Amino acid sequence: MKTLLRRQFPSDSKYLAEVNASAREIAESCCFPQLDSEKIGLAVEECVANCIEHAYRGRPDGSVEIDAAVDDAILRIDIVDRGETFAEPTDAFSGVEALAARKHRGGLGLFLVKAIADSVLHIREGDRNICRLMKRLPALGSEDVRSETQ
Amino acid sequence: MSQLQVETGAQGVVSIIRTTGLLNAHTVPQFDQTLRGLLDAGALKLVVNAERLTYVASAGLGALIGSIDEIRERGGDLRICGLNETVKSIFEMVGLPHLFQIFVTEEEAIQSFSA
Repeated sequence: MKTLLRRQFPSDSKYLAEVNASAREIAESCCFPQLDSEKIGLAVEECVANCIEHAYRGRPDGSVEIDAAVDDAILRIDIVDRGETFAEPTDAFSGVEALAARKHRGGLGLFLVKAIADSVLHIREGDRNICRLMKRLPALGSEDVRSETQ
Repeated sequence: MSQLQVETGAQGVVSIIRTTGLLNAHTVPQFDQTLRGLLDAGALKLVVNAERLTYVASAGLGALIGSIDEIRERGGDLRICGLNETVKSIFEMVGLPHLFQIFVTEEEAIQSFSA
Protein backbone atom coordinates (compact mmCIF):
# COMPACT_ATOMS: atom_id res chain seq x y z
CA MET A 1 0.00 0.00 0.00
CA LYS A 2 1.35 3.40 -0.95
CA THR A 3 0.31 6.34 1.23
CA LEU A 4 -0.46 9.44 -0.84
CA LEU A 5 -1.63 11.86 1.81
CA ARG A 6 -2.25 12.07 5.51
CA ARG A 7 -3.48 15.46 6.59
CA GLN A 8 -5.63 16.92 9.33
CA PHE A 9 -8.11 19.73 8.88
CA PRO A 10 -10.01 21.61 11.60
CA SER A 11 -13.71 20.73 11.75
CA ASP A 12 -14.57 24.12 10.34
CA SER A 13 -16.49 24.57 7.11
CA LYS A 14 -14.12 27.30 5.97
CA TYR A 15 -11.57 24.54 5.22
CA LEU A 16 -13.92 22.56 2.96
CA ALA A 17 -12.56 24.13 -0.22
CA GLU A 18 -9.04 23.20 0.88
CA VAL A 19 -10.19 19.63 1.60
CA ASN A 20 -11.71 19.49 -1.87
CA ALA A 21 -8.53 20.76 -3.50
CA SER A 22 -6.34 18.27 -1.61
CA ALA A 23 -8.52 15.31 -2.59
CA ARG A 24 -8.69 16.52 -6.18
CA GLU A 25 -4.89 16.71 -6.31
CA ILE A 26 -4.63 13.15 -4.99
CA ALA A 27 -7.01 11.96 -7.71
CA GLU A 28 -5.07 13.85 -10.37
CA SER A 29 -1.84 12.27 -9.13
CA CYS A 30 -3.52 8.88 -9.68
CA CYS A 31 -4.23 9.85 -13.31
CA PHE A 32 -7.99 10.22 -12.95
CA PRO A 33 -9.35 12.48 -15.70
CA GLN A 34 -10.04 16.08 -14.68
CA LEU A 35 -13.80 15.70 -14.30
CA ASP A 36 -13.44 12.52 -12.24
CA SER A 37 -10.79 14.20 -10.08
CA GLU A 38 -13.15 17.10 -9.43
CA LYS A 39 -15.92 14.67 -8.46
CA ILE A 40 -13.58 12.82 -6.08
CA GLY A 41 -12.69 16.18 -4.52
CA LEU A 42 -16.38 16.88 -4.08
CA ALA A 43 -17.08 13.43 -2.58
CA VAL A 44 -14.38 13.91 0.06
CA GLU A 45 -15.64 17.42 0.80
CA GLU A 46 -19.16 16.04 1.31
CA CYS A 47 -17.83 13.43 3.76
CA VAL A 48 -15.95 16.08 5.74
CA ALA A 49 -19.02 18.33 5.74
CA ASN A 50 -20.96 15.37 7.22
CA CYS A 51 -18.34 14.95 9.97
CA ILE A 52 -18.58 18.64 10.84
CA GLU A 53 -22.38 18.64 10.86
CA HIS A 54 -23.08 15.28 12.52
CA ALA A 55 -19.98 14.10 14.44
CA TYR A 56 -19.01 17.54 15.76
CA ARG A 57 -22.48 19.15 15.50
CA GLY A 58 -20.95 22.21 13.91
CA ARG A 59 -18.20 22.69 16.51
CA PRO A 60 -15.02 23.95 14.81
CA ASP A 61 -12.63 22.72 17.54
CA GLY A 62 -12.43 19.11 16.34
CA SER A 63 -10.37 17.70 13.54
CA VAL A 64 -10.90 15.56 10.48
CA GLU A 65 -8.11 13.51 8.99
CA ILE A 66 -7.81 12.63 5.34
CA ASP A 67 -5.79 9.49 4.77
CA ALA A 68 -5.34 8.47 1.15
CA ALA A 69 -3.52 5.45 -0.20
CA VAL A 70 -3.35 3.29 -3.28
CA ASP A 71 -3.47 -0.46 -2.97
CA ASP A 72 -3.97 -3.01 -5.71
CA ALA A 73 -5.07 -0.41 -8.28
CA ILE A 74 -7.65 1.07 -5.91
CA LEU A 75 -7.58 4.57 -4.47
CA ARG A 76 -8.73 4.40 -0.86
CA ILE A 77 -9.54 7.61 0.98
CA ASP A 78 -10.39 7.45 4.68
CA ILE A 79 -12.11 10.44 6.24
CA VAL A 80 -11.61 10.09 9.99
CA ASP A 81 -13.11 12.07 12.86
CA ARG A 82 -13.20 11.64 16.62
CA GLY A 83 -16.65 13.07 17.15
CA GLU A 84 -19.92 11.45 18.10
CA THR A 85 -21.05 8.29 16.38
CA PHE A 86 -23.50 9.10 13.69
CA ALA A 87 -25.64 6.76 11.69
CA GLU A 88 -25.91 6.87 7.95
CA PRO A 89 -29.09 8.81 7.17
CA THR A 90 -32.03 6.50 6.58
CA ASP A 91 -34.08 8.96 4.51
CA ALA A 92 -32.64 7.89 1.18
CA PHE A 93 -32.60 10.41 -1.64
CA SER A 94 -35.82 9.90 -3.57
CA GLY A 95 -35.37 12.49 -6.30
CA VAL A 96 -35.14 16.25 -6.53
CA GLU A 97 -38.87 16.69 -7.09
CA ALA A 98 -39.62 15.03 -3.74
CA LEU A 99 -37.03 17.20 -1.98
CA ALA A 100 -38.42 20.34 -3.58
CA ALA A 101 -41.98 19.45 -2.62
CA ARG A 102 -40.85 19.04 1.00
CA LYS A 103 -38.78 22.25 0.76
CA HIS A 104 -36.05 19.98 2.08
CA ARG A 105 -32.34 20.55 1.62
CA GLY A 106 -30.70 17.44 3.05
CA GLY A 107 -29.96 13.97 1.75
CA LEU A 108 -28.02 14.97 -1.34
CA GLY A 109 -24.49 14.76 0.06
CA LEU A 110 -24.42 11.03 0.71
CA PHE A 111 -26.22 10.38 -2.57
CA LEU A 112 -23.44 12.25 -4.40
CA VAL A 113 -20.71 10.40 -2.49
CA LYS A 114 -22.24 7.03 -3.36
CA ALA A 115 -22.67 8.03 -6.98
CA ILE A 116 -19.03 9.15 -7.28
CA ALA A 117 -17.21 6.42 -5.34
CA ASP A 118 -17.21 2.74 -6.28
CA SER A 119 -17.88 1.88 -2.65
CA VAL A 120 -18.50 3.73 0.61
CA LEU A 121 -18.01 2.15 4.03
CA HIS A 122 -18.86 3.65 7.41
CA ILE A 123 -16.80 2.16 10.24
CA ARG A 124 -16.70 2.92 13.97
CA GLU A 125 -13.27 1.97 15.33
CA GLY A 126 -12.60 2.88 18.96
CA ASP A 127 -13.38 6.57 19.27
CA ARG A 128 -13.11 7.17 15.54
CA ASN A 129 -15.67 7.38 12.76
CA ILE A 130 -14.14 6.30 9.48
CA CYS A 131 -15.79 6.92 6.16
CA ARG A 132 -13.86 4.91 3.57
CA LEU A 133 -14.21 5.74 -0.11
CA MET A 134 -12.81 3.35 -2.69
CA LYS A 135 -12.34 4.14 -6.34
CA ARG A 136 -10.66 1.91 -8.87
CA LEU A 137 -7.82 3.63 -10.69
CA PRO A 138 -8.64 4.64 -14.25
CA ALA A 139 -6.08 2.35 -15.89
CA LEU A 140 -8.24 -0.60 -14.81
CA GLY A 141 -11.76 0.77 -14.68
CA SER A 142 -14.89 -0.87 -13.32
CA GLU A 143 -16.00 -1.94 -16.79
CA ASP A 144 -12.68 -3.72 -17.30
CA VAL A 145 -13.06 -5.51 -13.99
CA ARG A 146 -16.58 -6.62 -14.85
CA SER A 147 -15.54 -7.94 -18.24
CA GLU A 148 -12.57 -9.74 -16.71
CA THR A 149 -14.74 -11.53 -14.17
CA GLN A 150 -17.38 -12.62 -16.70
CA MET B 1 -10.62 36.91 -0.69
CA SER B 2 -14.04 35.43 0.02
CA GLN B 3 -14.76 31.96 -1.37
CA LEU B 4 -18.01 33.17 -2.93
CA GLN B 5 -18.95 36.51 -4.37
CA VAL B 6 -22.60 37.14 -5.10
CA GLU B 7 -23.76 40.09 -7.19
CA THR B 8 -27.29 40.97 -8.07
CA GLY B 9 -28.63 42.77 -11.08
CA ALA B 10 -31.86 43.19 -12.96
CA GLN B 11 -33.04 43.33 -16.51
CA GLY B 12 -36.64 44.49 -16.62
CA VAL B 13 -38.57 42.33 -14.18
CA VAL B 14 -35.94 39.60 -14.15
CA SER B 15 -33.60 39.54 -11.15
CA ILE B 16 -30.17 38.10 -11.73
CA ILE B 17 -27.87 36.50 -9.17
CA ARG B 18 -24.30 36.23 -10.46
CA THR B 19 -22.08 33.88 -8.48
CA THR B 20 -18.29 33.74 -8.53
CA GLY B 21 -16.28 31.14 -6.62
CA LEU B 22 -17.73 28.06 -5.01
CA LEU B 23 -21.07 27.21 -3.46
CA ASN B 24 -20.72 24.77 -0.57
CA ALA B 25 -21.70 24.32 3.08
CA HIS B 26 -19.47 27.24 4.08
CA THR B 27 -20.60 29.76 1.49
CA VAL B 28 -24.26 28.81 1.08
CA PRO B 29 -25.55 31.19 3.82
CA GLN B 30 -24.32 34.10 1.69
CA PHE B 31 -26.20 32.80 -1.35
CA ASP B 32 -29.30 32.10 0.76
CA GLN B 33 -29.25 35.62 2.15
CA THR B 34 -29.13 37.13 -1.33
CA LEU B 35 -31.90 34.89 -2.65
CA ARG B 36 -34.05 35.52 0.43
CA GLY B 37 -33.54 39.27 0.08
CA LEU B 38 -34.77 39.19 -3.51
CA LEU B 39 -37.79 37.01 -2.63
CA ASP B 40 -38.71 39.27 0.28
CA ALA B 41 -38.50 42.24 -2.07
CA GLY B 42 -41.06 40.53 -4.31
CA ALA B 43 -38.84 39.16 -7.05
CA LEU B 44 -40.63 36.43 -8.98
CA LYS B 45 -38.49 35.91 -12.04
CA LEU B 46 -34.95 34.93 -11.11
CA VAL B 47 -31.88 33.86 -13.02
CA VAL B 48 -28.85 32.35 -11.31
CA ASN B 49 -25.80 32.91 -13.48
CA ALA B 50 -23.27 30.22 -12.57
CA GLU B 51 -20.77 31.15 -15.28
CA ARG B 52 -18.03 31.90 -12.74
CA LEU B 53 -18.96 29.17 -10.29
CA THR B 54 -16.11 26.66 -10.04
CA TYR B 55 -18.10 23.99 -8.24
CA VAL B 56 -21.26 23.40 -6.30
CA ALA B 57 -21.61 20.97 -3.38
CA SER B 58 -24.78 19.43 -2.00
CA ALA B 59 -25.44 22.41 0.26
CA GLY B 60 -25.60 24.65 -2.80
CA LEU B 61 -27.85 22.24 -4.66
CA GLY B 62 -30.03 22.09 -1.55
CA ALA B 63 -30.39 25.88 -1.50
CA LEU B 64 -31.74 25.84 -5.06
CA ILE B 65 -33.99 22.83 -4.52
CA GLY B 66 -35.26 24.07 -1.17
CA SER B 67 -36.43 27.39 -2.58
CA ILE B 68 -37.96 26.48 -5.93
CA ASP B 69 -41.37 25.37 -4.68
CA GLU B 70 -41.84 28.59 -2.74
CA ILE B 71 -40.93 30.62 -5.82
CA ARG B 72 -43.31 28.66 -8.05
CA GLU B 73 -46.10 28.81 -5.45
CA ARG B 74 -45.83 32.61 -5.76
CA GLY B 75 -46.16 32.31 -9.53
CA GLY B 76 -42.48 32.82 -10.29
CA ASP B 77 -39.57 30.72 -11.41
CA LEU B 78 -35.83 30.40 -10.96
CA ARG B 79 -33.78 29.56 -14.03
CA ILE B 80 -30.10 28.79 -14.24
CA CYS B 81 -27.41 29.53 -16.82
CA GLY B 82 -23.71 29.30 -17.49
CA LEU B 83 -22.90 25.89 -16.00
CA ASN B 84 -19.34 24.71 -16.48
CA GLU B 85 -18.70 21.04 -17.20
CA THR B 86 -18.17 20.12 -13.54
CA VAL B 87 -21.28 21.88 -12.26
CA LYS B 88 -23.34 20.55 -15.17
CA SER B 89 -22.20 17.03 -14.39
CA ILE B 90 -23.16 17.37 -10.72
CA PHE B 91 -26.54 18.83 -11.68
CA GLU B 92 -27.15 15.85 -13.96
CA MET B 93 -26.13 13.34 -11.28
CA VAL B 94 -28.92 14.49 -9.00
CA GLY B 95 -31.45 15.16 -11.76
CA LEU B 96 -31.61 18.93 -11.45
CA PRO B 97 -32.34 19.44 -15.16
CA HIS B 98 -35.75 17.83 -14.41
CA LEU B 99 -36.49 20.54 -11.88
CA PHE B 100 -34.94 23.66 -13.41
CA GLN B 101 -34.77 25.17 -16.85
CA ILE B 102 -31.10 25.53 -17.67
CA PHE B 103 -29.67 27.80 -20.35
CA VAL B 104 -26.24 28.36 -21.83
CA THR B 105 -26.20 32.15 -21.58
CA GLU B 106 -27.69 34.72 -19.21
CA GLU B 107 -29.40 36.42 -22.14
CA GLU B 108 -31.18 33.20 -23.09
CA ALA B 109 -32.30 32.65 -19.51
CA ILE B 110 -33.66 36.21 -19.28
CA GLN B 111 -35.38 35.96 -22.65
CA SER B 112 -37.05 32.69 -21.64
CA PHE B 113 -39.26 34.64 -19.24
CA SER B 114 -40.70 36.56 -22.20
CA ALA B 115 -41.58 33.41 -24.13
